[in-house]
Amino acid sequence: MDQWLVITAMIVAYLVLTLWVGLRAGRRASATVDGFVAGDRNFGFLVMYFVTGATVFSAFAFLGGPGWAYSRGAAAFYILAYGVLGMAPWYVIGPKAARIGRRFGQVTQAQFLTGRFQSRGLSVVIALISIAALIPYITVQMRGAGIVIEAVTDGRVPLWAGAAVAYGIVLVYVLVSGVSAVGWTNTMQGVFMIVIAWSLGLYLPYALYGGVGPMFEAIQSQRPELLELPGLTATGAPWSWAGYSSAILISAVGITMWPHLFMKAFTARDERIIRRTVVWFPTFQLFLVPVFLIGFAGVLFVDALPRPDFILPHLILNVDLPVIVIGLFCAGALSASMSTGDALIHATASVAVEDGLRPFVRLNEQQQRLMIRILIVVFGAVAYFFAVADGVSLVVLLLTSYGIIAQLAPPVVAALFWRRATTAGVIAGLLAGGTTTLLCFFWPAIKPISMHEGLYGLMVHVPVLVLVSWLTTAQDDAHVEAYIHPPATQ
Amino acid sequence: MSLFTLSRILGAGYLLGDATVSKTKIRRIAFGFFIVYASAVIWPVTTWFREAEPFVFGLPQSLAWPIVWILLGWAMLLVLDHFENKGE
Repeated sequence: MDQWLVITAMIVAYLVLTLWVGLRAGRRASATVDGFVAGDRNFGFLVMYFVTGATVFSAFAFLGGPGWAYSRGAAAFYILAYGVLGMAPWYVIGPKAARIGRRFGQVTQAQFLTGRFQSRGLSVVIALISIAALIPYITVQMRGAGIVIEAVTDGRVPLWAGAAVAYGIVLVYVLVSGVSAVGWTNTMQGVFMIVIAWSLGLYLPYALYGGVGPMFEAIQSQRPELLELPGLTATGAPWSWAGYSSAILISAVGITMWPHLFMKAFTARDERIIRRTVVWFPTFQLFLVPVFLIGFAGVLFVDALPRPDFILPHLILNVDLPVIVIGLFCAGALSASMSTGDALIHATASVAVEDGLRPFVRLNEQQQRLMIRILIVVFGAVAYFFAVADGVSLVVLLLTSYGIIAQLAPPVVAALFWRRATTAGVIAGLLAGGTTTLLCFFWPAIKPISMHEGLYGLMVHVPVLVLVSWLTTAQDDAHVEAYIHPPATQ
Repeated sequence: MSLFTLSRILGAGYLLGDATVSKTKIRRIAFGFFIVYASAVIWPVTTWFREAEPFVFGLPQSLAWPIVWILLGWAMLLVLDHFENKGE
């Protein structure tokens, strides 16, 4: 039998398994918005752990990670540096948000924020920011799935078809089971990813160089610039320390502010589970180490790959691996893509309905769920359209969206910890920070040093928030108290 | 320096049956620790660890440095969680 047939069979088996898990997951969820969007607030530790981990580790980590290590060297280490740093505040913020969400029946980030800062305008601004940041993210995941399938089938299954099949399945299980499907499939996919990343990450350096140590020694003698911080830029020039450091800071601030992650606070069965998820998150972060080893393994074996994102499929196909390993790799890469993609699509549609539509239109439970389902299909189609069109600028868009998403951090912190914050202050801060970020992105010349645009946004955002809050009337004490010291329920 | 203080306070906590380490104190320590973490992985502290050599367990030092901090961060979270759950 041809190699590609075996691999295709394995991919099909993997996809069928995913579909089965996803469909089964929803059987116990209630037919309510709470059930569809927040899983009846009943996720246990294991599922929460993998949802958090697998959602963060996307196709970007699995395909982009090796690509970065291969082409930009030590620059990739910034990804290792920010994860735990960014997740740690969630130990405090997550349970507090969950407690408030449970009390007031919130299922999204905007509902959480507008609960304290009452404004329909604010709700819409957050919905728009979220959707604008999430769509390119989904697109990148879909392309990732398409790329992998196209590469390993020697082009017999083109990108558009591979992405369509993989995400057709995602669509089916998300539509049927809602967030429960996301939870259970991510658990399965998370296990897949970890096992495959570690086996490949140790196997490839061993097969090609005789070990991890010898591999780095070989790279050090031939391409030493790759191993020295802060690494290189995409063009091969040395990266700046300001760029490297600010990428770490802005990502650390932004990571938990992504709507698809923040919303998972409302899915946890209790606060203890959220805390434990944070405590064990570093184990997921370590999973990036083998991913980088894979990329470094390619340095002296693959020369000048025009598209570094293809390094992993390329290496896999050229190292003479057993066919079963290639098949497993595909399953791992698809897992990475789909486990992030499903959460993203689900979050985008939920946010659009709950925050963009519901403040203005009266919808009953059934209508809400119907609208979310319709929008899951719509946003899936939009992202698919971008995915099969050329997606070069999308990666840039994705990195920029981190700067925009990070602007949600000051309002969240203010909502939970600062009594004096006012609605006007939060809106002014958000607009000022967002505008600054975009200005710095489109006219990089106005930046004094080459820091991430989102950091400039925060530098403007925070003072504006504080100043405008001080200048406007303080909020009612009882109202504020519910957020600063939320009483424990149940 | 802060690591030394940290280990001293924690050590004392264990010796005295944890009673001396209040939740507030451990939260402050954790907060301080993550500020140190942030400073350690960016400019200028990281510039001292930017070179590939010496190799640490076969990994270049520039890669080992963030890994060390992931492990330290994990330890800090475990300790924090231990004290947070006291009496619950």
